Amino acid sequence: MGILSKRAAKYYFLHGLKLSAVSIGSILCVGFVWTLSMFGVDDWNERVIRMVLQFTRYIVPYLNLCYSLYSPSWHDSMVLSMGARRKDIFYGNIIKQSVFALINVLFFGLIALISGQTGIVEQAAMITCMSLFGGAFGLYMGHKVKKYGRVVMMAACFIFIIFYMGTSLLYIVDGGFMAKIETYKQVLIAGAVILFGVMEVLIYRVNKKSMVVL
Amino acid sequence: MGILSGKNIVKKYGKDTVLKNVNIDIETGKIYGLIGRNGAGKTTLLSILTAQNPATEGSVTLDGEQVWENEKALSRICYSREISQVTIFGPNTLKVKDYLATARTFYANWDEEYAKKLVDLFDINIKKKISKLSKGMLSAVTIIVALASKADITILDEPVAGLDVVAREQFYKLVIEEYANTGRTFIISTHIIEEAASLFERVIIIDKGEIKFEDNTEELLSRAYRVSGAKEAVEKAVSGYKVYNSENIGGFEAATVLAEHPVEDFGDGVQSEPVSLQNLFYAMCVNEEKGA
Repeated sequence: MGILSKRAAKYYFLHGLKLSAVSIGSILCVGFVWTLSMFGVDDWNERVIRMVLQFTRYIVPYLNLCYSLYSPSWHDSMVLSMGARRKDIFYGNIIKQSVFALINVLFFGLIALISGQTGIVEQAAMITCMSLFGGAFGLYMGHKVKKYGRVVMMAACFIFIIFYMGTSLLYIVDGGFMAKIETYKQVLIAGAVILFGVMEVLIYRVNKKSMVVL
Repeated sequence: MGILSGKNIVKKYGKDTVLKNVNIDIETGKIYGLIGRNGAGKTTLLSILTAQNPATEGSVTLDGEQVWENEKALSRICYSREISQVTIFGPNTLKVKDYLATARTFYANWDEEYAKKLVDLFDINIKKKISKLSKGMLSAVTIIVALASKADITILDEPVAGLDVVAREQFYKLVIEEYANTGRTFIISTHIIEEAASLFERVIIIDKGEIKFEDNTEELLSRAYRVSGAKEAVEKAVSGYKVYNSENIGGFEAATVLAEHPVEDFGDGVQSEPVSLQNLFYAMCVNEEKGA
């Protein structure tokens, strides 16, 4: 590993740590607000912990996606202008996203363990895989936004809205929809891992010819 | 002496060809001035020479080694670019101190003490966000990164565009000091030609994606003249020379000429005087437009 690779790895590692701190801070703030609103209610502590864990499961992959979305136009472009290589940036992003996913999953596991939840390993694996896929997907979209502008962002938002509406509709029609999905956790994990691999190949290809746009 | 060399560089953006088969050799240990009109291809050329952008065709080498994705070559180059202040999510949302910290991480020869000295000299508030800086302050941050990087080949694109006259003079002085102390290579692209001309050991003139001239500044200017007088006398005097621009002012003709060698005398009935780099560049551009 060359000096430049080490410098880039360190930069992205620290960046991953910073983003993790923001994420955990946000989750704690939300937990605090829920605590205030439920304090005094029967089993308030159990309910708050359950809600915080549920929130963490959804917010971590989403935040990893969002942070990765602006990386090509921001951090990647900046460090590329400062002499970093494209391959350092590629590996750096994997480091950043992995650090983010790992720390948040550890945080999730810690709360789940303290509160005596079951099936922690499976849930942690689910968050990790979804988070890594979210990060890779966000990064790929970020490259497209950098190249084609905000129209890509708008198209992605439109697709997400359609997807969200479809899911909501299914939930309304069949209340046990989410529970059914939960039973296919292993399939979802495997799907996320495969998609993560596919996205990384695509990112590697677009990243190879990325340009500085400050 | 090293050479940063670009061979047969072509850059296309869609159907537009921004650089047309450009060949350029930058010798280390010299100060180069890169001048050209807006959209001539200066920034694109500099981006490609520093591997910040890929060329459509051609290659860039430093001492014979490819620059693209080459750690050894990249560690010797700094191309400090001005950050856009209007981006929603971009480096402009960083504080100056964070931007400088990133530069410190990536530039192998970063001189922190020198960076601090320059921050004080240009009176930059490092706690300010880049998006909140004035145009001059932004230019100063770009200069600080370039100079403190201590890179062998340091490239500045329009570094003095937003600076006031005092800061501009400070910048020229800093470049000369650095050059004298370290022998670093500087490539400075600028539109303020008159001021910076004395700084340039060599000058590169780029127009419409092609390099028109790459020469020693002093030698180039020693062959450039403005010949004036009666129309017939001037036409006779400049025949056989490359005339870049000819203007008729109040019955008098004035022609800008670039000879192959210094000319002692253009003959009777005409006056000749040296031409500044800016005027020579202007004459070249006007000539191109007339030709077009």
